[in-house]
Amino acid sequence: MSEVAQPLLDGPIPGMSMTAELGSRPWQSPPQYATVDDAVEYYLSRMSSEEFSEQLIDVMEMGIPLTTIANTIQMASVMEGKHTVDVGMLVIPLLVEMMMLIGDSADIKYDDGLTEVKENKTSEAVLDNVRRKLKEQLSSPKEKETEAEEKKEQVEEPSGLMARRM
Amino acid sequence: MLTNPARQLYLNMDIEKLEEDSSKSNTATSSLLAPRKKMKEHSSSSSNNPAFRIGQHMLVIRKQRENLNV
Repeated sequence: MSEVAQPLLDGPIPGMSMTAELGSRPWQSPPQYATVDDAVEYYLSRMSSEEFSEQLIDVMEMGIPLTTIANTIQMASVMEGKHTVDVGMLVIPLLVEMMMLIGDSADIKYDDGLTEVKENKTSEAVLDNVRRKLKEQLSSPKEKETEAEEKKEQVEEPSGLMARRM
Repeated sequence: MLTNPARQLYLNMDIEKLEEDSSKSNTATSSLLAPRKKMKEHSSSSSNNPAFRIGQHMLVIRKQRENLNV
């Protein structure tokens, strides 16, 4: 999936930050993890969980670049008040590296998002996933045939008054 | 307009260079008359730099990745 610069049409309107009480938002209060080391510890423990890696692998298989996922993760944490924006910026490369490790250990092809954006070109990761799925479908034609036969057998007999009886 | 700085941040980390820097070991001088580090020098050491510490974490993870891919 290519990342194209898009206009920020859903950006905040001037004065929007003053519509809520100051300090009522999580990012307006002191962060939960003030230092980079605390934030790293938080992320590493979270990312090493099985639940997270399963979800991440699903997202990777969809062809979403790791850089986009990393940015989304850190932005969500900033909005939750976990850490500040500057800590988030510092942590991004580590998140990308960690996700690469998860992808490699799961032996899947992923788009790291580090290559130059090429417009109107489908990424290799997406193509690979499509190829793999097609191969899986083609490798099991017998199963499909048996399924089709079963369906034919399940066709209901005509039940009208004038219907022929078998 | 740059909406996602992640790519640039990752490429700017330059871990390979970091590895060379961290591999340089300072010869420890333990004698009494050996020159000691000044406070000024101590504060400017790279381990105090959070980006450097992140780079060290990344190095460890990258080595694990390389072991996996071998």
